[in-house]
Amino acid sequence: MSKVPDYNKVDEKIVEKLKEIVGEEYVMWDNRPMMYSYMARGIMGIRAGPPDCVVRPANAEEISKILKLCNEHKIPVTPMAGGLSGGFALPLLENGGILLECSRMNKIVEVNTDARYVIVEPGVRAGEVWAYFKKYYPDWAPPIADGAPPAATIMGDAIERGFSLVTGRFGPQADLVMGMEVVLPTGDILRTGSWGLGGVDEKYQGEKKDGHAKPFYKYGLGPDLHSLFFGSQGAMGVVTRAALKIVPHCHYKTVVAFGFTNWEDACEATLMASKYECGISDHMVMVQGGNWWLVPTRFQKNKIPKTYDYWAKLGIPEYFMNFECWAHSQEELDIVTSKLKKVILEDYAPNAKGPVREWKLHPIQIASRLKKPNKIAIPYGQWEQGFLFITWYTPWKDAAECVEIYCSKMEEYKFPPVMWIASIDHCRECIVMPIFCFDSRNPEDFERIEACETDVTKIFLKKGWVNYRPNPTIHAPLTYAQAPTAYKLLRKIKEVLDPNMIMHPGRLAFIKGVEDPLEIPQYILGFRKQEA
Amino acid sequence: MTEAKTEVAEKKEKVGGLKRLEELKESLYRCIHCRACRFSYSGEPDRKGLGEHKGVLYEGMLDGCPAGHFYGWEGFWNAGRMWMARAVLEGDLDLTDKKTRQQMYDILFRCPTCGNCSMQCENNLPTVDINEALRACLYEAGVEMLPKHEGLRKLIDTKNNPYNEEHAHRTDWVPDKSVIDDPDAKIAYYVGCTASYRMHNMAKATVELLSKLVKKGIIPKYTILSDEVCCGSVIYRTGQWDVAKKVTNINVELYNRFDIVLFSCAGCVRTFKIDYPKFTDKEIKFKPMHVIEFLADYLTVHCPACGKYNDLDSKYCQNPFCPKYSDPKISKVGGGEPFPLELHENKIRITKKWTKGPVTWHDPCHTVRHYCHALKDKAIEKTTGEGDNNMWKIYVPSQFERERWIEMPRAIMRAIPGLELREMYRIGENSLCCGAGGGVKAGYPDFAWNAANERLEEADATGAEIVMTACPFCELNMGQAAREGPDGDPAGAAVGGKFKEKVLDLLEILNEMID
Repeated sequence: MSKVPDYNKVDEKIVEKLKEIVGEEYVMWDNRPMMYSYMARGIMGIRAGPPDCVVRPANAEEISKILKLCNEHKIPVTPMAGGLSGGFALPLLENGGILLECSRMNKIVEVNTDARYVIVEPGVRAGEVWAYFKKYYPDWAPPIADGAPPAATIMGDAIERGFSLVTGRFGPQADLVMGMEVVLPTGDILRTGSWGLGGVDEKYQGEKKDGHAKPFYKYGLGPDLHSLFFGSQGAMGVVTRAALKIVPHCHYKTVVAFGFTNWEDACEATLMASKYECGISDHMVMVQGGNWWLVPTRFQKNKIPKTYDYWAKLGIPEYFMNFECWAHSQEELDIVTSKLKKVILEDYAPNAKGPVREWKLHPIQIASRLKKPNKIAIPYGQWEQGFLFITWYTPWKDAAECVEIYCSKMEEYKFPPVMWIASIDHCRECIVMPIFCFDSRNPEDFERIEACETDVTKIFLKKGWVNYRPNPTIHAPLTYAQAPTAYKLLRKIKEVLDPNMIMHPGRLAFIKGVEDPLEIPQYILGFRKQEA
Repeated sequence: MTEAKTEVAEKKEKVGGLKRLEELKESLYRCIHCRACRFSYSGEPDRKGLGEHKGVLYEGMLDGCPAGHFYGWEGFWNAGRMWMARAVLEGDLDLTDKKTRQQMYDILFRCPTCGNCSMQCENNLPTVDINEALRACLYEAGVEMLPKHEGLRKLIDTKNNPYNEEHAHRTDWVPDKSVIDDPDAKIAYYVGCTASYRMHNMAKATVELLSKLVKKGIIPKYTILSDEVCCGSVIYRTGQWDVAKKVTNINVELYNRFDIVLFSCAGCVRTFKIDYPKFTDKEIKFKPMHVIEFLADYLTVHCPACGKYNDLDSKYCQNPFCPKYSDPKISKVGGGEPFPLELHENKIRITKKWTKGPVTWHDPCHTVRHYCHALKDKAIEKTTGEGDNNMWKIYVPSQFERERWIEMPRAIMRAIPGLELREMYRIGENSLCCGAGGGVKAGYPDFAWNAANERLEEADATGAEIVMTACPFCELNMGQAAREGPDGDPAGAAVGGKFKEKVLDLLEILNEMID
């Protein structure tokens, strides 16, 4: 392997300075067991290593001082909100540097029900903000992730352009961000959009009266800055506050589900219904589905039937789509669900490739799907010993083709073809998410995942499909190799924001001193630290 | 060096920590670090709570891990420890290195092994087992333990109790000596060290109560064995398994002639019920039961079809899904038969009225969560994956079984006229640990006090006047916090001393209420 780029290691002198910034009790160093306690290999990322030092700041000012220090001494920094992206939230190089663990920053700063936003800090978890809104703002809902564990942070989901419980209607979580406060790698603190305007008269400030305008308009002055930080995986700066749109929390809800015998029908029928914008489609806040494998892989492999005929007898469709519908009255909800059923069962079904049916859910099943937040996504670790979500975006029209290819590749590489799809913004895009259930005791399983993913990536890039959260060894390098101008520009922007490339080195194919994205994988840790 | 190596190897053989951790590897590696294990009600957001009390919103998703909440670093939360365990198995953390051992000790031993994490885990990790196995790994590798922890083992090994009392005085507290070592009794009452040497009131209340019921002919006679030795709970929790196995074998040998062994301590019964079968080769012939569990059948109508504990006057089962006896007025399965008359016979009916104000109930970790996890494990173990004998099918019945277990003390409290129960938010499988277990009270008394304080604040939020429980260790720890601050100053008592002398054991209450 080539020489690791020249970042410096945390040492006693640096630790003393860190303690001066955040307080002695919020710096952990020279404690190997504690560093390993932060490890993860799965959820979103399988390549990761432990940090050398963990720091727990309280606010943006402390983070600013930390980043200035790290810049001066060229120490890598990995920011972490809730850590629920698994391996993605951890260092990628053998020099683990500093893990900036932001869970102390857990305030719900402000709720504004007229401009309709909530301002949160990075440590605010979905379960906490949901309970807060249920209690104090029952007619409004914060856009939390659905399926992700309740410990996931609402901000982490947003800045990674994640999936929320209203993504079918409102688009990816990032579209709901009205403004952000970001500590740049150089230590400067930036607020985006209208929120960036300081020196504003008190009457026009937000509730906290901190001198700034309200975050009511995300675009602000000139070219839009805040998009630089979405999907940056912590490589462009540390987001310390975000203002997110809140949506009406309709109290009339249900889930309507349909069963299909092939992917094409599942996708086409859904697209037909989703095109009813300004109508029923605007009530379909979350539209998601998948194949029957989503059911058995929630249990231990040796304790569950693995052939479809068992599940068919229980009424589980081979392919299904769920439509979570919200409305302001029962009458409105009934109109929506009736129309939805008509579109799928009467307008689409006669021309379908195979049978189409309503999958009548038991009230308990509906209640459990409506429960937010929930732990639906977690048990996939039981099938064997671990799971990995990989996510791709395709035009909705291409989704059926995409999932067919993916499922067949997963089987080719000996993984159960567990597949989940969801609508983004009225089926403009599809989020295609295979769930790789694997045995994390076995390093060869990690290699098999990467081999499958490399194979799939090469095919998908040729079709113009993009990976939604590119990993540093496959998606990022291969994608940038196809988009060299974009990589060149992004790298220039990265160098402006982060001249010493200290922020999460390796992420998104950015490492100090290495300019070819295809060379980046050499520097990234393997699956066992000893292999680095 | 060779001699030292042999000693370590011998200790490893005797303790078996690493061996056990290897056995648990398949379960351990299911951890994806999702952090669901930190929180109570992390999957139950819709339950209404108590609103805001002292700045805490008692609804939704609350911290459920006392150690993580108190210390804040990842290693103090369960998921962090799971990944430390992986690092040990993968060789990334070398237990032959003294610094690594001591640092791990300082992290691992602050967990009260309450098991909240095990119940929150959707991947069914046996987190308590794994934590304890990791502790045993440290112990067998020669970690320098806190004097208090080491002292517990030495005292149990030499004096059969952790309180540095003489074994010969173990039964001094027994008022009626005729119950000691009765060769004809088929039921034994295992008192435990805390009750024998410290919480005499609770032990005395238990024997008074049992003796009353024997006199009335409701229950058969029982005995207390003078040769009873420590159950080993605290040394199982702290990984000191060599001595733990020794006392296990002594107790199994001692009690194997009985049909039932009764316990008033949640920790002891958990150890006998859950640990002993794993750590002894001897066949266990007796059935361990908490006295509360034993008495529940006399204070309620325990449905033989579905297990629900019904009030004494119930003609039908109040479980709308009971397959045989469900009340036609509420049944969702078409209604059932009335209970057979014999189910109403030989019952204890309490006539005295409760006058001490509203009560809140603290579910002891050892008899609720640990049992519930064991029930879940047992249900999963029986499945084969063939046809309907699979994990999906047993999920709901397994949940019902656990709910019955949690309901049991509540059904008993309903049998006390005038007693108003006000539930805390974190109850049942989501109960917040009092902070005493896992060697924490001995090793980290400040933290144990803080955990108890947190629990008492939650109790205060209900408006209750009394905190009731069924574990002498919970009573001890919460009782202490209710009387004094962490430095012993009464002025620093939790909730301003509101619960001083008001943390009570259900057995003591039953003894007062039953003539």
